[in-house]
Amino acid sequence: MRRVWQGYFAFLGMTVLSCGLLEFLAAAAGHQLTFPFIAFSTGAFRGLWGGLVTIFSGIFLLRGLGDFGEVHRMAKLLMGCILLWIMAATDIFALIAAAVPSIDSGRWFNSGPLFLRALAPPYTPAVILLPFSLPVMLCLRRFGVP
Amino acid sequence: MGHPNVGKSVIFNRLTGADVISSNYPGTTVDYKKGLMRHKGTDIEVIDVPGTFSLEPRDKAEGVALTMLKDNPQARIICVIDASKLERGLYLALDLIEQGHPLVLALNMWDIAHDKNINVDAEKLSSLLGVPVIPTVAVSAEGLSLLMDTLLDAGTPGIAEVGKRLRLAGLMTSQACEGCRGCLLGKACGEIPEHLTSDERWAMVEQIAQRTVTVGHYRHTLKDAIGDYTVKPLTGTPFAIAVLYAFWSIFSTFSGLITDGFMVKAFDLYWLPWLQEWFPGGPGTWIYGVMVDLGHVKDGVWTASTTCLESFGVLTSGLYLEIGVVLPAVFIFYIMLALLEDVGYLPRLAVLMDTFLHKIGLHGYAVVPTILSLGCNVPGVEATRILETKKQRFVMMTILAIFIPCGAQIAIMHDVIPRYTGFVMAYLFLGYFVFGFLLNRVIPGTTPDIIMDVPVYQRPIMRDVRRKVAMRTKSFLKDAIPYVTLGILIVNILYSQGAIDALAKASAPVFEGWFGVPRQTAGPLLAAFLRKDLAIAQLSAIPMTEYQLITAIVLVSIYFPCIGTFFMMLKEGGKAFFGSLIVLICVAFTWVGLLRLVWNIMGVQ
Repeated sequence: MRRVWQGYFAFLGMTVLSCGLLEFLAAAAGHQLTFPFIAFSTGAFRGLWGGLVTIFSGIFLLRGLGDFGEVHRMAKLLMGCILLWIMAATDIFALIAAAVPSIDSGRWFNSGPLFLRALAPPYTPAVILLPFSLPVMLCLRRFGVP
Repeated sequence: MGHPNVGKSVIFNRLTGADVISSNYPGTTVDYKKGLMRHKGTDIEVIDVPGTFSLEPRDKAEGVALTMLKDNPQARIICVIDASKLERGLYLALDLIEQGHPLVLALNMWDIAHDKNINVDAEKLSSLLGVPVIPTVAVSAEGLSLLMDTLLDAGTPGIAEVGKRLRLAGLMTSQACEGCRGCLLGKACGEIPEHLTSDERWAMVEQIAQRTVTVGHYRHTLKDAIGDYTVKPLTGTPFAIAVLYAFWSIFSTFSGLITDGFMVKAFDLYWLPWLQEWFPGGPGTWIYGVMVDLGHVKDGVWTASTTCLESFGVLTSGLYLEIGVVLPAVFIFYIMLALLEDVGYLPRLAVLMDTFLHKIGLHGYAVVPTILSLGCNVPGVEATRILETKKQRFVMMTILAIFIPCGAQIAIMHDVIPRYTGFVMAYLFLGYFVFGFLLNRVIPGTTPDIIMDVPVYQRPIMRDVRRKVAMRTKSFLKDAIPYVTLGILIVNILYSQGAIDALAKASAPVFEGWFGVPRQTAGPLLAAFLRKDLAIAQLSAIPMTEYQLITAIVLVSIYFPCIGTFFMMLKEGGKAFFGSLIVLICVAFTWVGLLRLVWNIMGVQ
């Protein structure tokens, strides 16, 4: 079971790290990378700074692999997830904030369908990877980390 | 009284129902606060003082606590001790007992001590010290009722009595008192002095702790491990980068949502047209120009403004700036600051920054005034009291006033130059370190090393966060609106009388020749003395290139402190304040001139 968890977080860490690097490099080069469901952010703030945080998240996840019962390993794993949650939460907040007010001068709020349309994909890598990081809570419980 | 960050202000708030700001880091309280506690039909005055490690002050904030003690020799003292670090707090308690002050000991953070498997025998401690000892958990008000009941029984045993009790305790636990060496200082009871040396006091602390504290097995938890990793440079720095990213991202998203999504609409589509239609007198009258809309001349014809930002009336621009732009920004800033304070992250940031800040003559605690200044410079300057030496306070105060923009200023910058706010902030922070480094070399004096106390991470109590945010926001509204109103009024009157044009003409060589900005910048600079956010908004109405606008905003940010900061610097710095002013003027010329040089080298205007 331990191996399965390790394999899972190794894969997650590698994916997060790759996404972070891609995001950072694309922003540095000024390229807009968009796929059907994923959009890599551009700009100095979200692209460079945010990409850097995603890179750190991947590194923490990879550094947290090893003895899963050991509290310091698990702390690094959790810190990797926390950094990913920070990125995802700020992206989701920005998405919702952009969807709430109406751009039409006669209305204050977007209608329901417009609001939902504004929340449609593509999403940033952090938002897509967010659900895959949540099993860390299960992992912490499984290995009895205080 | 008690050490910094042991929960004194929380206890004070609970006892008096007052609203004193308390946070999970040392040095939150730098001045004393008074409040009334009603207990059993009697009003009792309670005073909250800054934290102190001993009765010999190391910094200005500790000095406040000791002056208060000297001025009120008969005061009953609640000595608050962190129950998980009893030995450290006992030193101060013994010092107070030695001075003959009536004392009650509050063993606060009892829950944390329990979680760490640290057990303190409060009854035994009370019997040894001869003063009431009450376990408390201030954040949940546990034990505070008993503390209030016991306050009137505060004891004044004297240090010799404590020594005798200790000796007695030694005998009672069947420890033979051979030659009196086993219990205290190797002295017989009759010889125990009224005043102890520091070593003797520590010896006594050790004796007491041995008899009252038992430490069980404690397993390092995930919270502890994360706490450790967030102070280590290799792991703590990436975490700090992520926290600051979150801070800035939430700040800009929330303020953008409220301002651009709703406030711009409310003010430009409803408030401005309504005033333009209904304000008595109408366009062309002096009062209309000052209060509603100065308008602008287009093709020789006076044209009404279409946005509140460009109208420059007291009721339009003034309210739009403070309510529409700055209020949402400072509100979210204060929420995030309160969360970071109460979680206990700020001291960790202080540890991380310590090495770096030593290069500019400061130490990690300089993070506290710096971060407070990002909200408002006034409490930031006041918080410099936690620094030990005059040199440190001078350097800190000077670079704070020059290079740290307040929340209101950041909000307006974000509205006026959203693409370049990051650049301006980076340039200001670079100046903070460059001139800090230079001042450290030039100013004589010392920078002592300190040992920082890093508190455990705690879940913030939402009631306290709400109260703190409400207090700070109220204070912002109380200060900002009158000053902005006054600022717009003064500048509009000066404009209408031609004084600003005359000033702009006279100062043209400096503005155009040295700084490379339009001479009309003189007007906003005058307003900046009252409110810098107002000045930046005024700059946005002056025709200039975006590079000139960046330069002008940097100039407004660093050329002079606003009126509130000015008086706080005068109060805190005394004569040194005038030294700060000289530095400030030199820095403004150098740093803004340098920015102009950068533009010239880049070939942009």
